[in-house]
Amino acid sequence: MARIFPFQSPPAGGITTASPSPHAGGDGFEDLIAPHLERLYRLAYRLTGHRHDAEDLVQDLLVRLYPRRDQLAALDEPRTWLARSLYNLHVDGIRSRQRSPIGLAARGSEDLLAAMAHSGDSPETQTEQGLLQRRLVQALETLNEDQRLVVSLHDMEGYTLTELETILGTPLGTLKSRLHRARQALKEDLCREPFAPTERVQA
Amino acid sequence: MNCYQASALLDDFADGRLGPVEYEAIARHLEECAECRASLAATRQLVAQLRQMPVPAPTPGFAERVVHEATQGPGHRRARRRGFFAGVAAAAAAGLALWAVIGLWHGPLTDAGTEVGSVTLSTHQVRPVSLAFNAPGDIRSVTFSLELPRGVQLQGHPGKRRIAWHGHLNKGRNVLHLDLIAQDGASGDLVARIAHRGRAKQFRVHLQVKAPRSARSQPTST
Repeated sequence: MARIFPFQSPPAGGITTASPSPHAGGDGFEDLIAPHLERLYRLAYRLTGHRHDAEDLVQDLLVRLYPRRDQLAALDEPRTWLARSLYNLHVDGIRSRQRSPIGLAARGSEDLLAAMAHSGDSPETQTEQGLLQRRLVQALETLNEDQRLVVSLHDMEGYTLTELETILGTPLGTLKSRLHRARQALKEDLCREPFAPTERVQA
Repeated sequence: MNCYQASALLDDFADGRLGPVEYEAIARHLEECAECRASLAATRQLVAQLRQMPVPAPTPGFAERVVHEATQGPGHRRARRRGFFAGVAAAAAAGLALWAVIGLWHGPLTDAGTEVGSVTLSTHQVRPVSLAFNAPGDIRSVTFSLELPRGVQLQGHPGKRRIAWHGHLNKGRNVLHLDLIAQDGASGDLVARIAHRGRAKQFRVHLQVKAPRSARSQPTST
């Protein structure tokens, strides 16, 4: 019953349109959602910045989707719909905790740095690539939330601005201008300090 | 087309969002303008780097677990940690929060750090501990580190006794939420260190570890 979903490789063949089985129970749901899990997890990670929070977010989404699996099965293009549902759930979670001052200090840097340590082919590539990525992590910290969101989803995850218009509920023009400003800020930040020390602090 | 007009469309050009007419116009401008070419090259380089930003693999069995949870009911859901910084309300409601409201960076670094309280852990059981930090304003580029005593670990980070990360503090109260698990024979202090602009503050939380009734080890404290 339980299947291993390949998490190392991208989902094959893009979106597979779900063909609901005539007796769609729990197994039907698994077939529906499996092709989307990796993408949902990646999106959740970009939103939350932490692996465990990302897993929790996907978990919450699936719990909510299961009773609505017929609706999911009827969709021709579930990718954007799923992404929007995940994003809305994330925002709801933030709102429900809004009375608490949530520090964003952790923002997954530790997970991210650990992931970087395992990426790269050769030691040289790893070092060079790792250095660039560390600088980029620092530069990303200087963006505001809106800018970081659009850069994360557009430039890192490859969602189009048109998709993001639907997923985030933000007008295209606003998204374009946020993306532009974010990229400008990142380019300037990266140009300014070609060899930023790791302990870089700023006033 | 001048540089001002071109710069407004360079992102669209780089991302392939332009129709043929605008595409041609930009392409012609780029042939003549080294500055815009450099800007485009920098954008492309940046985007290529962003595409490479890794995502850590989920914990083993994630896919099966989430599907199973969704289809088979709640089970043990929510028994886990909820992130480094989680809601104050949840911790407070559970009666487990340890508050350390501290004015940061108003004094020299002391070697021993300020002791902010004591917490009792039961071996092999998750114990949520929350630390609140009052920041006088938004503070960027802060280095956080945690040192755990021998035999105590942060859930999700097995075997790691020192964990460090970069981030920032928001003005006002920031909450660091930790799920600690102690092994038999664990004892000592948890040290949280926050560094910024060459200064640092250290805070110690004394951890007392006691074994559940039937366990082997003695209740331990330091």
